[in-house]
Amino acid sequence: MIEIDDLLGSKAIAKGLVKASSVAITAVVVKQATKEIKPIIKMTKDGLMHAIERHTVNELSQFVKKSKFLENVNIPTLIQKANQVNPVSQPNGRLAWVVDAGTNSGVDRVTNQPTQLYTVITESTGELVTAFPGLP
Amino acid sequence: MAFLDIVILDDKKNEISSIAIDSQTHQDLIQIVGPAYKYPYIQRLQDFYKDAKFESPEVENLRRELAQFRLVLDGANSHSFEGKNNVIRFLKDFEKLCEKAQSLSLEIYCISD
Repeated sequence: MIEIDDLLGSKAIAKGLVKASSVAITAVVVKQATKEIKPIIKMTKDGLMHAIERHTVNELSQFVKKSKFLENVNIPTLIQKANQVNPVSQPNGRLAWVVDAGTNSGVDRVTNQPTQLYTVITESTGELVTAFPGLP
Repeated sequence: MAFLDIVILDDKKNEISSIAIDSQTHQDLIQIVGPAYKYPYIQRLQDFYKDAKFESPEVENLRRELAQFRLVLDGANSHSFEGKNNVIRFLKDFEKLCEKAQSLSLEIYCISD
């Protein structure tokens, strides 16, 4: 026969379990939300200039060895498009956004071949640092 | 793969000589080189995506620092990591580049991607 105290005790235990589960579920949800939060890439004048002067075909001879974007691509548009992918944290705290452009967007200096892949580097808060064809 | 190009340029910004360090070797180098007070010139390369420059009078000190660090790295068993040979090779190449810059009394530019 179940005593009234047993019932109250079970109720208390059940309540405790529900509360503990609730805390655990909240922790998981918060963790997942933190994981998914990513900054929006913020175009900066310095970052854009850095990318354009190095990674476009131009007369600046000191950058001749760098990987180059193709002449028909719009670099600011490529940079904005990187918002569609999830960035990867770099050891220095910056973020690398590796994007497949779908068509050739540049020439990789290692292979000297056209590549669809390009990388956008931002600060952890999203400010543009640079962008270049190929992988980081 | 991204690179930091280390170059000697003439006064018209044409390249005379250069070496490059890839992102992985750079990461290994910076992780192992330690605090800035020990190797302040090498530490100037710390940010892979920022340019750096060594003025002509600084090149001898840079060369000494590179040689010193290479000897430490080469001799120490405690510094054992996968990319060690790449770091040592880079340091040797950088020393040679310094010698060339010194012979021409020119600066060294580190040009990021």
